[in-house]
Amino acid sequence: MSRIDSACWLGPYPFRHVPHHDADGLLRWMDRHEISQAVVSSLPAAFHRDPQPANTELARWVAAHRDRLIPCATLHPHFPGWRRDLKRCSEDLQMRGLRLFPKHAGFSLTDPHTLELVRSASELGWHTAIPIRLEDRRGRHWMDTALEVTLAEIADLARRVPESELLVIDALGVENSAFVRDPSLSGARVGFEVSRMATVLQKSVPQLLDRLGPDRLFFGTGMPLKVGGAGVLKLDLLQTSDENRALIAGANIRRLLRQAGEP
Amino acid sequence: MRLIDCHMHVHGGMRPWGWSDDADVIEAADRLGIEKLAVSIPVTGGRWAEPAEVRDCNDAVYGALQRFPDRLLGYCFVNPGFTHAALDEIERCVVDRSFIGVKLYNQYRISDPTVFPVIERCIELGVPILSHAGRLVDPVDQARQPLCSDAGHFVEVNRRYPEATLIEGHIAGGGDWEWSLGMLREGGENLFLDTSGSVPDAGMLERCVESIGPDRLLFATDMTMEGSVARLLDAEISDTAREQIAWRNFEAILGRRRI
Repeated sequence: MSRIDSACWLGPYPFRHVPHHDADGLLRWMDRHEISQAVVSSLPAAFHRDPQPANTELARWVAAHRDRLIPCATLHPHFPGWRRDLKRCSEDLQMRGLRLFPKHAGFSLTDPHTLELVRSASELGWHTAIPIRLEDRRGRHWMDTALEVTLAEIADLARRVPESELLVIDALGVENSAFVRDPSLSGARVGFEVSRMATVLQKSVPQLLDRLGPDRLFFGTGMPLKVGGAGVLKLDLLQTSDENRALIAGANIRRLLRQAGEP
Repeated sequence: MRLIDCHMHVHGGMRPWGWSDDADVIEAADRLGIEKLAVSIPVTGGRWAEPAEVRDCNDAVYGALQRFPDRLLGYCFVNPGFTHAALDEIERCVVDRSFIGVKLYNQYRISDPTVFPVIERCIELGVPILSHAGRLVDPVDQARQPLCSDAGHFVEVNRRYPEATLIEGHIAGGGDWEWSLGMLREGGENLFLDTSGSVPDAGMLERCVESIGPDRLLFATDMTMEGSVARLLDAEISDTAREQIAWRNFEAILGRRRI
């Protein structure tokens, strides 16, 4: 089984020391957990006013490992010139998706600029990933004022951009959300990365698998911010068919990356 | 590697935790290779705990112990605000029913003199006290749990009662864990820290070992099953240290019992 991690990062984090945040460190962890490829974005880009220099830096970091590390762009929809940056990320930097940090960068997921950015990414074949959070808010640094993105906000976005592929990173509570209750979202192209959910005891992952099907669940670890083994363990412990496991482990994210032009 | 979970809960009384039957706890433990789990049912949510409710909680734990005698160990939850009732409950559970220790929640900070009679009785019995804890930094959390103990309160009690076996709950349970580790460096050999909780930060367990050493760390899940096991298995620490944390340290604590 080929594992592709849909939720990794590169670069330092401003609020605490994160070990192994460079490409070599991440690749060592990927080897240890038998993960063949990882989708990565720049952690510093989430905090910068202009994320484009960090996107360029990310492309340099992954250049020697491009067969295993697949870069995603971080863009802010209110920053002047994001259309030019999006084009450069796609054409010059060979990026394959978009990540948005609405709470860190101070924008709404449903304002017209954001909707235009998400639609523009879709026209490139990109998925748009939205991390719910970068850290647990209960231990937040005094300079970290970002709240968690809510599933309701993402549902609002999904209703407005039904043609776009969305991926929710660090998702929690989806099995009791509008995504399983609201018929208007039944056809939404929204996937959920499952590293924060439980496979045993609370059994959120099996419940979500029952309710949404295997096409909308994505393996991820959150490395190097998070302990990588948790996501791996949750996938390994999931009692499901080989076909379902293969979809969650890698085939679903591979499909999205191929739409974006990844071989 | 053996795993003994020193901080877990069972369903029962008024405390539904998110599973329907405690057989699910045993099933999860089986799948993760956890041999035994030390469990309790505290009154949570910032609520006061009347003696009758405390007894109901402990009776539910006792029911679970009888149902899974080879897998579960029990903590006796008490509200130290009812001194006589709390001491009676310790007799009923720890002395008469072989519970292995006492569980405190956030009805009082552990350093409050109201708690001292409970601590003194636990010293006499040679049993540990596991207490809910966290260095809460978010105003919402602080308002919800104004009397939550942090590492500073534990160090204070550890200095007053160095012979008491104290377990600070869930370093990964939410809150500023780096501050907690800084403070716990001031603690003595009988002040332990459990490694449970849902905060998934990489490098946390390595920092725990660097800060207070593997002798004072105890593996636990507190219901975050996969995440807590992965935290221990992924940690870049020696196999000797991992084994100490996984079960040896807690087994040694259980051996301190005097009754």
